[in-house]
Amino acid sequence: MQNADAAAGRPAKGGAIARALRLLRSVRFALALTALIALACIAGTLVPQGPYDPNEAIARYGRVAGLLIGLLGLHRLYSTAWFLGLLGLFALSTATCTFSRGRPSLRTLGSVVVHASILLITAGAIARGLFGVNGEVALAEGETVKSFTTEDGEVPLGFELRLDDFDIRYYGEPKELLLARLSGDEAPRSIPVEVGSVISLAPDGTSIEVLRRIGDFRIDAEGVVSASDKPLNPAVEVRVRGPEGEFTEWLFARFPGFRGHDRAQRGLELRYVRQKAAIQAFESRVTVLNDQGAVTRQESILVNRPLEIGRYTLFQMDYDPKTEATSVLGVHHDPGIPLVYAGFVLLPLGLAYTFYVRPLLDRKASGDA
Amino acid sequence: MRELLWKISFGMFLAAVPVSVAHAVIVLGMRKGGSEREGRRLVWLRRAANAAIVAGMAALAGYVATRWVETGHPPFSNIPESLSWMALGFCAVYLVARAHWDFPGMEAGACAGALAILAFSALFKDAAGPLVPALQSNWLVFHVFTCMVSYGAFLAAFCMAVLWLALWRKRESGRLVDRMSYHLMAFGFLLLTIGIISGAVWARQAWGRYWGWDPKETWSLITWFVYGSYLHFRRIASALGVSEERLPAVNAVFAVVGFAFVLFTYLGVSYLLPSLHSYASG
Repeated sequence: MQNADAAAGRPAKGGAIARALRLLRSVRFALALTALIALACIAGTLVPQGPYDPNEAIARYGRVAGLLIGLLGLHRLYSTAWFLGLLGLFALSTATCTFSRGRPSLRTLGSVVVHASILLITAGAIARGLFGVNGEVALAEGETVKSFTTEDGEVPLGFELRLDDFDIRYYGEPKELLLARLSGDEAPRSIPVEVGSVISLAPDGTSIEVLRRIGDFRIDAEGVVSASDKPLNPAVEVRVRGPEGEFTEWLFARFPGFRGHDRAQRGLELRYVRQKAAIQAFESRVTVLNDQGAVTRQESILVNRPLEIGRYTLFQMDYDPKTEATSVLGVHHDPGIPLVYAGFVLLPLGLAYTFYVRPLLDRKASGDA
Repeated sequence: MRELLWKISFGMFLAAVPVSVAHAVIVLGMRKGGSEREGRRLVWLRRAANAAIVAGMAALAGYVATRWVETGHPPFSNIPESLSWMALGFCAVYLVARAHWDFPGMEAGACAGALAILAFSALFKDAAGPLVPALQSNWLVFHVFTCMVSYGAFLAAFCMAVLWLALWRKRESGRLVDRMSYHLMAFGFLLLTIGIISGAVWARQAWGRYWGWDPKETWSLITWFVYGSYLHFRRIASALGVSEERLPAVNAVFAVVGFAFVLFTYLGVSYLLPSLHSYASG
């Protein structure tokens, strides 16, 4: 790996720079740094990352640990100067180890490639930190934007982006049930919601009929309508018949407490339950327009299928569950990606060479000798 | 059919335990250059144990394939599914190691390890649910497979460390044990590296960034540091005054400590720390 003095971290000879270089070349120093970084990382995963509230931290971790978290910035560990300094020192140590071994040979090739690839990844991460842009944009259906939001404020996209449609697809249809409980019943009875079906509830002639089902309940001048094709306010209209006569009413999945009639007095409790199936996909269908307002692209953005456009990459990030009509897209620009991906390719190749090719070369060399 | 294959696999590993333990006991108790009869009996015992391990592996592979067909997606989406891959990886690593090295008790370690993984997976509710949007990627198979096989290799190194402490310390060549431990951990390290990298590339596709200091990512990096430190320590061991005879002890310490980190990365993070990988906890 390098000479024995440096490897064992023995006292170095020479001036301050030479001593510093020897220290950086020392594997023992690199191992100590690795241990420190690992310990810091452990702390970073145990302490929730976010704003620091001293009272909450003291209540949770005790006085000493709570204050120490604030002092060391463990609540925002990965952006603290001392942690970034440790990572920088580690990169410096890796670079010194890599480039102070003299001329690379077939024996040291794998090790050089491994360490160089770590430096490439580090360089890419630095490029991201210095020149990268991370932001997001929330778009309602039909809305057009020219900029997105970052921590530093609004940043122009360089094009116009319109959300034509936001769609959530599910694995199957939702499970819709009416839960009916007559006075005296221990548990409610589950009734599948099927428009037109009449279900007998008791021998005295009490029955329930499902009249209508609406996805997005609204009342306008024409009466009850569905405001959209999305299930934002699901409701069913039922007719209940019994010995005391009949009545109709609306039951709302989102507002189970809403009562059109005093059903308790009639000895019947009713609830409408709508359980959605698991989400299969989020899809934002967008149109990209140029400065003149002309359409240049129409694309879909899904999780695992981002859209590369100009210098930005757009990701499906979030949505508004209340309206299901607003999509939140992540907007990222990362100039360090080529360096990072080059490191990603080289790192396993270097390791494979070190573990499996070099021993073959060594064996061949010893055989020749 | 699926359940039957899992039970056959479990039964095969279970059946291999007494056979392989008997083999180890006889070998360890046999005087050097034992009789011809003892030698024949040992060959059959070892073959029987290995045949049971291979049969257990085949049944487990059948179970995974059946599950893949039934659910319509690769069986990598929860803990019991990924544990099946870990068991397969562990057995495959054992078979390769077995082809290169011959220590008494290796078979016992292999079937006990595989059995422990399957028994542990039985503790979880095995509900094969649909894939959430983030998991619908071609990277799923590659990322989870490489990580699970690397965990299998680290488990193999852990088992060998336990065997060294229990059986081999005073009778086997320290140099050979050192070579085997090194190769197991180096192989696991290579696969873990590929697993972390593939996860990073996938994370950029799904979440927009290749690294976000999510607890699962961070603990994977910590585990990578532990095994990376081992590989470096091994190189400077002589400069630090660690003799060749003491290297197996160093290997054993790293194999045990490293596997503790693997376990926390795999299970601890999924259950104890809030993570974007929380879909893997079930």
